[in-house]
Amino acid sequence: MRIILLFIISFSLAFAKLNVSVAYPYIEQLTKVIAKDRVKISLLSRGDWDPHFVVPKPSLVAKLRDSDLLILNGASLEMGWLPPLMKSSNNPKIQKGANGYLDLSEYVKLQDIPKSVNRSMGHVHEEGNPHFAMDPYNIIPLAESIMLTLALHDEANYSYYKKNFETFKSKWQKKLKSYDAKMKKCRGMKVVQYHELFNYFLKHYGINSIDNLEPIPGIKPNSKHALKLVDEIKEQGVTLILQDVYHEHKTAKFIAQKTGAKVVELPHDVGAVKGTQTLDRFFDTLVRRVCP
Amino acid sequence: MQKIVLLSAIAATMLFAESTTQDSLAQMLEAKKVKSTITKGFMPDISLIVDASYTHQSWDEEGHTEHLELPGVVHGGGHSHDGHGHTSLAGEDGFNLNYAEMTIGASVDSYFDLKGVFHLTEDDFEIEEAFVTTRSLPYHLQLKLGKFKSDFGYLNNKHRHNYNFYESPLIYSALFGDHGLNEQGFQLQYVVPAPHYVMVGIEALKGENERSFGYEGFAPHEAGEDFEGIEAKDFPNLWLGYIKTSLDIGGGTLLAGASIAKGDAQINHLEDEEGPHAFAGDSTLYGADVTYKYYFAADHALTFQGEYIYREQDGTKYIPNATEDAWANEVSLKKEQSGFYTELVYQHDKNWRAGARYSAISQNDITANGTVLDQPDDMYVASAMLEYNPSEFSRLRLQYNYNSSLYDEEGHKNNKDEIILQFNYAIGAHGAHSF
Repeated sequence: MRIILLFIISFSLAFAKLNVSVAYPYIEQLTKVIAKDRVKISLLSRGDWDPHFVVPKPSLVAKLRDSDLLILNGASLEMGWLPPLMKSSNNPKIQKGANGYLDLSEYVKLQDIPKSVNRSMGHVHEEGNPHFAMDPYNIIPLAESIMLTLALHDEANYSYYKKNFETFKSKWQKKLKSYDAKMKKCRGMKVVQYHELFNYFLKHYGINSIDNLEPIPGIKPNSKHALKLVDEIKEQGVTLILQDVYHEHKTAKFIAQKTGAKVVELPHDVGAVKGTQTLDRFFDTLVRRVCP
Repeated sequence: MQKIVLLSAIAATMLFAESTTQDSLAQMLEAKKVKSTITKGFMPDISLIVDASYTHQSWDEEGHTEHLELPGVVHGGGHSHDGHGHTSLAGEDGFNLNYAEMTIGASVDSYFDLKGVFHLTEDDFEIEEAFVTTRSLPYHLQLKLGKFKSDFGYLNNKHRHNYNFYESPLIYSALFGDHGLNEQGFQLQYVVPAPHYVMVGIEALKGENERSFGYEGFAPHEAGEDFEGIEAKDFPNLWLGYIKTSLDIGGGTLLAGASIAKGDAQINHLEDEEGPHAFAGDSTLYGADVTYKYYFAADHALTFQGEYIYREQDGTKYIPNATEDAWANEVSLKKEQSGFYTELVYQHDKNWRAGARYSAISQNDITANGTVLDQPDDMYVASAMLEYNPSEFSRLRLQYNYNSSLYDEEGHKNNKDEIILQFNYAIGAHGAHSF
């Protein structure tokens, strides 16, 4: 009798599993930390791709069609690929404004908010820099907003989600302390980046990002700008060139040759480079590569 | 009795408890929001696209470009419809402002989205599209109503600036004209709950395409009042259905579709200066399309795309008589025509793309009063293009066409070499591209 009851309960639980679509791998990790296997997660992109230009495959429409909840980065990061997919999913639950739509950018303080925007400034986001997940200090508020949203949709598991969140929170606070300790010696260091992907991380640890390889956001480096960077790097004593995985590496190598600054390839999301499949390992790698 | 009261009391508390937890969770979530410094007003998304080109043409027979036609498919003459001129089949030489396209869109409320697309040429303003779509229909349904580009085939619903080449393929412009199947009516689409993407849709439309469908009645210009001519058809005159599906295979994505369109074709060319005539009958079109995109990286891809369209047109061709209340001649016509295009586009990175396309009309079977007419079926255009996109918002395209599709009035092919340098610019709302 008991076995049958257990079977029925577990079956109904399995059946009632929440379907969650997540825009990027780091959101998948956060959701996993809180929900473990009690929700079904569909990831819409890949960690080694440019987050601004995810391929809008029709198979993503099928994933969104079945979703009870869509968790996205927001701040227009998905602007170039997600809106038509959401529209063609014919799923009212996950449309903007519905309660199955969670925009994470609403739960952190955005930086680099432009005073005015104009396309001659390149691919700027009027909401501010959308790469806020690069700051490990933002991870706890992001996890908490996901925990509360999951609970709102699946109240039966509220205490379970909360417990997992609290466990993660205390573990992450220890992580933050160790990152603080490791990053201390790099305070005041000067770097250049390809694209302003790592601003949140760098600002938090007092590292100065002098300039970008892109002359303006979203525009390829040109030789004039590269030569200007060479001078800047020499003048200001920049030690590192932060390269992401999805842009070309030639410009960085050229500048490194001319200046003696070192190129480091950094992951911009979970899974972007080898050994970054979890949030811990992602930030461990980021910290180790910027401040070895 | 007591038991019931007790039970209902418990049930009520449970319900109440549940809603309070819900409310408090929602409040907690709301409280976690960080007040952002920018609050966006109720501004709709607005964008403007401007497209211009410089074309250099050279013909086998320079003197024979006035009355070019696709025999049995599109007759020549460079006439105009409804007052707005369409370019003759020869195309435009030299520098041209092709069009400006303005798009405005926003959510109306939580139930509808509204979008308007305005096609502007030097002297004309056209509502290319103006439609609402539903946001919250149940059962994975979406309804669209207004004027819109039909989802027939792969290319029809795309705007010109999303084309991989300067112009639409030969079979499209031959069967649908300059604007494609762009109609007033309703559309209902259903995303099938299948493991893969499967979408089916139907459309009920007015049916006023210049080449394949028409609902208006007609009679010769001089006909008296008691001459009835051909009566107009009621809405909807054109019905469409299609299914589209997609699979991710072998590191790429396959998208395939099949479409059908059926409607009355009452096409009035009685005002034409040369060879005035009209046609009343029906058209049935079948389309099959396939796209395969292989990704080396998100912005580094190879895309194959092909589409085949078949049209069967059955009816009567009327030749007007200027003096009597009768048609001078009535010809029973049956046309079976088809064509295809295939293209291969290589995207090197965000900036560079190159591609080649072959488009052809390969079947042109016409029977008039039971007699098979000898019509050419060897019309084709071969194209190659190279694109440089300085940013997502600007594009330079160099294209070469070898056009071997046009016949002069004496029935001789007049081949054309063409080089086009195209400039395309967009400002405003960041429109995402569909697959």
